[in-house]
Amino acid sequence: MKPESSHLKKKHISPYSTVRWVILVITLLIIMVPLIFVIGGSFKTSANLYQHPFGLSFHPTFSNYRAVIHDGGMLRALFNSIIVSVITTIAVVVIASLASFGVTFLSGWRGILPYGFLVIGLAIPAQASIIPQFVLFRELHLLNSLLGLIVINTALLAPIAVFILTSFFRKFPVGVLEASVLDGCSTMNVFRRVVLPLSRAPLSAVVILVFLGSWNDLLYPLLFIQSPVNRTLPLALIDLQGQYVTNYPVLFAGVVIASIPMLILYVVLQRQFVAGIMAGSSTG
Amino acid sequence: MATIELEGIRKRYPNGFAAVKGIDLAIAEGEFMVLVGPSGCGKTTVLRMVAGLETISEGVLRIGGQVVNNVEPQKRDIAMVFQNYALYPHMTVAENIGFSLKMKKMPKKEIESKVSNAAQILGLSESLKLKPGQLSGGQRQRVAMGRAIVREPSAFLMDEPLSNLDAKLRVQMRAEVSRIQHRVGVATVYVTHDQVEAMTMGDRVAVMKDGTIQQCEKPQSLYDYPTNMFVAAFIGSPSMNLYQAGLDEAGEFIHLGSQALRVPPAVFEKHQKLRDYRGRDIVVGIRPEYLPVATERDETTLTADVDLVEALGSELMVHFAIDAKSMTAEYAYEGEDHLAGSGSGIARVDARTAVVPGKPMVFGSDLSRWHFFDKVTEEAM
Ligand SMILES: Nc1ncnc2c1ncn2[C@@H]1O[C@H](COP(=O)(O)OP(=O)(O)OP(=O)(O)O)[C@@H](O)[C@H]1O
Ligand SMILES: [Mg+2]
Repeated sequence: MKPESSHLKKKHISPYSTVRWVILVITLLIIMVPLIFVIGGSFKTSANLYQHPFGLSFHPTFSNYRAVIHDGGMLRALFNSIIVSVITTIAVVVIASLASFGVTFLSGWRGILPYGFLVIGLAIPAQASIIPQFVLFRELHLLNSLLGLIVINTALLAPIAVFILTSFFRKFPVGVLEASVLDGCSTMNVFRRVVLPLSRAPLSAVVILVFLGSWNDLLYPLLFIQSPVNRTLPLALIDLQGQYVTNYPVLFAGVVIASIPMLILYVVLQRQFVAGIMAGSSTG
Repeated sequence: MATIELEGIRKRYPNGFAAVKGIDLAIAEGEFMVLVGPSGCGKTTVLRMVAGLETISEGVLRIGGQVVNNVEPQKRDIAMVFQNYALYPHMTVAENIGFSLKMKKMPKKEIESKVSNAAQILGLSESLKLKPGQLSGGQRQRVAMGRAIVREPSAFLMDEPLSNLDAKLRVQMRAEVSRIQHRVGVATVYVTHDQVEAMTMGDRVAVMKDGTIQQCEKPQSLYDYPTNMFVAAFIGSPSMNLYQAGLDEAGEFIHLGSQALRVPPAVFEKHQKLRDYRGRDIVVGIRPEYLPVATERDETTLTADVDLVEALGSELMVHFAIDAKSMTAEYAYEGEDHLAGSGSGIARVDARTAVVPGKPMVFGSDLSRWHFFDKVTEEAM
């Protein structure tokens, strides 16, 4: 044992740190137990799951995953979800970053007015406008189509993205923008060559938030989508419950598969959350 | 290439603060204009208005004869070195310096050669691949400088561009900036707190105070003929000793505390207005370098008590005190640690002079080298 760790052991444990530890462990359990339950369950047979719900010694079986993958509807739903979420994310990032740039750096009403609309949009709960939305989308023939889901998700998630990005832009070192203007940048070039490259962290946050939001959205698919070909993953998972009345292991396998893209996205973008990207711009 | 003309320029910030209160200044093509003044007097504000980064509240700004009050900054073709650098944190040193050329769609090869040339001048050749975050303060400042000097703009605006460099590098850069400015031959406005930079680099020097220009002259004229106490105290280092004094009714003696100094007629020739001040209080200004050491007391010498001696190697700074009331034009010159005691002053004498702190010392006084100011208006006579 290294000297420091033996030293640590002798350290007095304060009541404060005990409380901290208890809270940490409880939080961890709240998160981990269902996770282990679902992931473990997805490798069990039904019988095994019912006998030892939390048991961890069993022969893992991939039959549940096979069942999910061979269910043609699931793959289709996965594909649909990817389409909807990817396009929504791209649309929100493009719209929100441009909007935030304008809202932050345009003077007078050109900045305030759009921002006001977006804040109002945030303030109204989505549920309150569901009926008008439904009617509107029916008139526009956007019901029962992936495009409809993309449009509604973009509209709902863009304001939050603008909120995040503007709060970042407001702290942006203005001198850097001014320097680029004097270096001959048009407004669009200021945005593209200076603002965007320096906004990787908040943009990554937006990407994760928006992707997660549209990936997990159940309400609008439930409302808008009727035909099985246009189902997204959350819908398909619900149907999974219907088809195999009590086949939880298969459902769990579906859930695990559904969360893999999120996981990958998160790991990939994690690296972008680098602190101190503004370092060195000014005197300090 | 162009002239820059400011006519009655004013700036009132949105919070109501009047930072610039009516400035008239014409900078000729190729002229090097130095802007000096205490902190907060509006130097940066003036530069920002010329660059177009700040709206002009009142007045007319012309560049190359064209009124540009409402012309966008991109279209003014001005290179500016920001006081706080404002480097692009995500770009390397080379990219920072070459960015404006890239925006001009200059061929890559040409950009590269210009950037490496600028880097050479600035001693940044080794650092071209680093990001600003990896540089020292002085290196960052040189990158900021590099961004301006790769260009051949219509005008240079430089806001204390050498403030963060060590003494040796500063001397070197001073020469380089002058050389580049001459080669490019464009109107330049250069803000500095450094007396030497102000005196040596500028074709003319404009002294600012509280958003107004006090005086704008060739450096030597500014030094020799300051128009008021503020300029007199601000220009020159250490600054001019200013005392309240009295001119007697006959105009024969100036009373400085308990001492009386005979006024030679030549002084009245030089300062015609001084006659009108007979029998009144005035302010006299004596530059530290015009207090030569004297041996015997007579009616042309000034005796002072030595407080402290600073040996600078080449010369001595003698801090002394006399029993006259010292006047301070309300100025603030950074880096100047003026001993603020009543009657205190500084004389600059030869390094080999024998000076004993605590003992009286006799200085010769050449009154024709003195400056005389109205006590109330602070204007020079
Ligand atoms: N955006 C602003 N809003 C309100 N007041 C401002 C603003 N910018 C500057 N000022 C004020 O205007 C005055 C002049 O500022 P400026 O930056 O031009 O001074 P400066 O001469 O460059 O000083 P320094 O030598 O310290 O750089 C200061 O009193 C400052 O407080
Ligand atoms: Mg300034």
